[in-house]
Amino acid sequence: MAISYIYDFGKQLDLAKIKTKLKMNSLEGDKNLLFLFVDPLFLTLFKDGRLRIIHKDRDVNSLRKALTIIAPKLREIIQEIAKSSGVKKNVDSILADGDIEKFPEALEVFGRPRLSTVGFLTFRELNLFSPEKVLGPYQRERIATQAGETIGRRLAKVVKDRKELETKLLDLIENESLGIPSTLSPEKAEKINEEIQKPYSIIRVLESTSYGIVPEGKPMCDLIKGLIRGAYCEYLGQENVNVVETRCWGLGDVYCEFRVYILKM
Amino acid sequence: MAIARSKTGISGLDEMLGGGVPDHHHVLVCGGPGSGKTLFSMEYLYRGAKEGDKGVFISLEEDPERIIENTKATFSKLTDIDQLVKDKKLFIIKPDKYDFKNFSDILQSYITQHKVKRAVIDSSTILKLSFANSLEFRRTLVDFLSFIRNLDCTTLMTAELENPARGKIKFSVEQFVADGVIILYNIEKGEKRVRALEILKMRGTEHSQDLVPIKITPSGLKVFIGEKIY
Repeated sequence: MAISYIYDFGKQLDLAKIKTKLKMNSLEGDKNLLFLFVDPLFLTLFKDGRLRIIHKDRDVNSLRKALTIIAPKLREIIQEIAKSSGVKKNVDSILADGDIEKFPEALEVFGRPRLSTVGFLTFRELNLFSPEKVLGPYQRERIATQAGETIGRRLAKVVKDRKELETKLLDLIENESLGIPSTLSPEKAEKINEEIQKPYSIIRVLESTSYGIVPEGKPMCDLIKGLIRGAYCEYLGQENVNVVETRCWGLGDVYCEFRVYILKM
Repeated sequence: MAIARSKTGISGLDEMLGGGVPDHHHVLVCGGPGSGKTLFSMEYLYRGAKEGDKGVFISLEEDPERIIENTKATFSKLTDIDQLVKDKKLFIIKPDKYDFKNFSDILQSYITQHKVKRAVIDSSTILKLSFANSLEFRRTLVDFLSFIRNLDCTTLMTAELENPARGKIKFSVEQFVADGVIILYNIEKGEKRVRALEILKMRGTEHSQDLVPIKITPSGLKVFIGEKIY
């Protein structure tokens, strides 16, 4: 079930101006959105005129309750966004038209309109929505993981060291238009709750295959996860590698993050 | 038309099963503490590996080294267990027990990448810990079994019985969704305990419904078909 609330300004927004006025944050490499945390709500503002709001607990009941509590502050934010971008729609009507986001993204315009060699909508339908409708979420996840792992293993067969592995992995993700990847140092990364060991590797992907998706409270990038797992399994020569997607658009985040853990054999 | 079967190789058991476990079945091996579930499962994999069917033992609790040592100590005449592991015909692994996705990833890897034909999951009791509630476990287990059936692998899953006394067993979701259920007992008989086995169900094949004594010997389990406990 979707867990976000959506408001629509009805036109393209001037994110640069809004960022300064509202002191919103942006992600390096992603010019299509801004985000802001107004405890307990997480706001994502898209260039195409949508404002998405998620409760930090990713729960729709908490979300509705919090929207009522922060209503005056939210009104101020919406007013400022509308003013900064010359939006003609009345603030009251923007607020009144806001609703729980129910449907998968129909049209998105990002910096990368294509995913791999098929169109973005086709890719999403083939990889995510239709398999899930027909086979259920578990089988969909298994297929996507298998596909990713096969590619990842093939990639890792001829690498000579870890640096080459990670370079090739990031190049593949970027060249296949699966996202804009980078690695993070496990030493510097935040500790995730319930993390019982330090990750071997962390890969962050902006504008991934689940970019802009309606969050459903679960990670969605099994193809990329499988890629990473397959590559590390092949490189390390063992199967006891656990790749966890700790951040994902499906979870309500604005980027995807994959943590690689090597378990004892 | 004869059905394809995965012979257990356990003395006496294949006769009770009409020739072996039907291929691609998912069989639950349940019993109380010390009833021999892990040894039974290890022998199933060992016998398969000897015949060319690679196997993987996925332990969610006990360390792989301990499992191998206990198996070697009990089945002291099966002297080539280490060699089978070295030759990658037998894998024993311990994934993150709280992460069902990781567990699924690993099993899938072994089946598709390493072409294992037999898998053991020890145990369903621990697997349940990955889930918030029993409904979620049931839904996922049904999906998981459906996925497994599409792969070329016959699986055994062990399950601890809370009350292992025959006639007082409380069945849970795993027994209902599995294709087969084999129960191992440790029955009180006077001042001693007698090990026993019965095949509660095995879909798609005739099977013995007798409760029969079994023995753990240095050369493996022995099922005494035709004999009685009492």
